[in-house]
Amino acid sequence: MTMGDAFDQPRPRVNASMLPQHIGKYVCLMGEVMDVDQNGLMFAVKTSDGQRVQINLPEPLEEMVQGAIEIVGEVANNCQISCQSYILFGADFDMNLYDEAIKLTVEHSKFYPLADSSNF
Amino acid sequence: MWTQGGGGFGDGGFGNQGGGYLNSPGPNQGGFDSPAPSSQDRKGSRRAQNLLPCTVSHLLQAQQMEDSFRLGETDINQVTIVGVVRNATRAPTNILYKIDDMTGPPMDVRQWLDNDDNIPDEDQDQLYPVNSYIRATGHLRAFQGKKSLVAFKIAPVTDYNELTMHVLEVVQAHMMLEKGSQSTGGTSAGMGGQKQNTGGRPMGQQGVVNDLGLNNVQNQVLTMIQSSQDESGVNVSVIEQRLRGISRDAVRNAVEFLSNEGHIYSTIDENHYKSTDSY
Repeated sequence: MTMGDAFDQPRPRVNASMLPQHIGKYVCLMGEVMDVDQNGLMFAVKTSDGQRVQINLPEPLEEMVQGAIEIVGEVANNCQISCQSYILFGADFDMNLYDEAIKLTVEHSKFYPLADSSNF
Repeated sequence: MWTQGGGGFGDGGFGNQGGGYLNSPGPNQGGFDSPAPSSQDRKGSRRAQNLLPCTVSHLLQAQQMEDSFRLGETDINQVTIVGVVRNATRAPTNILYKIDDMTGPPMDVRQWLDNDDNIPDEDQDQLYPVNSYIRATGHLRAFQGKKSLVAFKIAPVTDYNELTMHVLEVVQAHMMLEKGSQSTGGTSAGMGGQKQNTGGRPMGQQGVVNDLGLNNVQNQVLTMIQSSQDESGVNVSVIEQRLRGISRDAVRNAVEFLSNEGHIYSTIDENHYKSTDSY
């Protein structure tokens, strides 16, 4: 999988509870960095709904990651994430509010649609 | 190759705090004007000049009409999106970004440049880096079926809670649009912090009274005054007679309230009132 693949598709904003429904698909997961493995190839986050999810990287990290992080990646069978790209959101991000917001987008998906391939 | 996030905050100060809604207050609400969902009911051709928070997927869904775009029942024109810069290319006259908000593929966002040599270089439009979040506000365009945004304003997101806020605003704005086009009385669909129709009040009122925050009695009195064709307005005693179930005092209080709020005014004497709204 290349970078282009992930970015050309919709990536629903999910929390840990939603991961089982997205196995094999690309998602956007928000969480807080918990621990980073020594080899820099994996780290764990505490997701916006308070669960621990492991994030796996294709290449080692080249910087320190901490605080809130937004991850784009593919959900593996065991609900770990193969990270394609990430963005650091820093320390002042309201994780609870974000979780409420994305739950609303699922509940009211009519008003927060995901593009289907017929229109792009 | 696998890219790394840059992420951090901008330095200090806040960029664009919100959607920067551009509309002047509507006639009664003093808040934000609504898109015109049932535009055929409005006087003249009232072009949608409202600013709608959207996702890229909304923009892709919108259908091109003669002079605007239509999403569901609503004309959309000016929109605001929040997303990640995936690409940024500077040309002599414009900057072309590809902005990704996770709801679909990245969208082309074009910003035309002022090539004014009098503007010092540091004030010229800066190129926002890849992997940073920005808010783009502008007009939806389509060329040969491909959608894009021509932005008149691009601002960096400095507080990432703005992203959460945008998600919430999108859901709310589009939900209100749908409610606005469904209800019979033309209830305004607000954006931002104005008072909403909570749905608890019965919509079966006669007349086209918007949700002005009136109670039941005030509403009935106002409707009655509005429906009068009389030059000199309606006599309060007539209202008292007609609204049998309501006490005289309650009617008079309602009249006083409505008059103070500016919904009605007295005409030939203190007992005759007309409505200030032109229906």
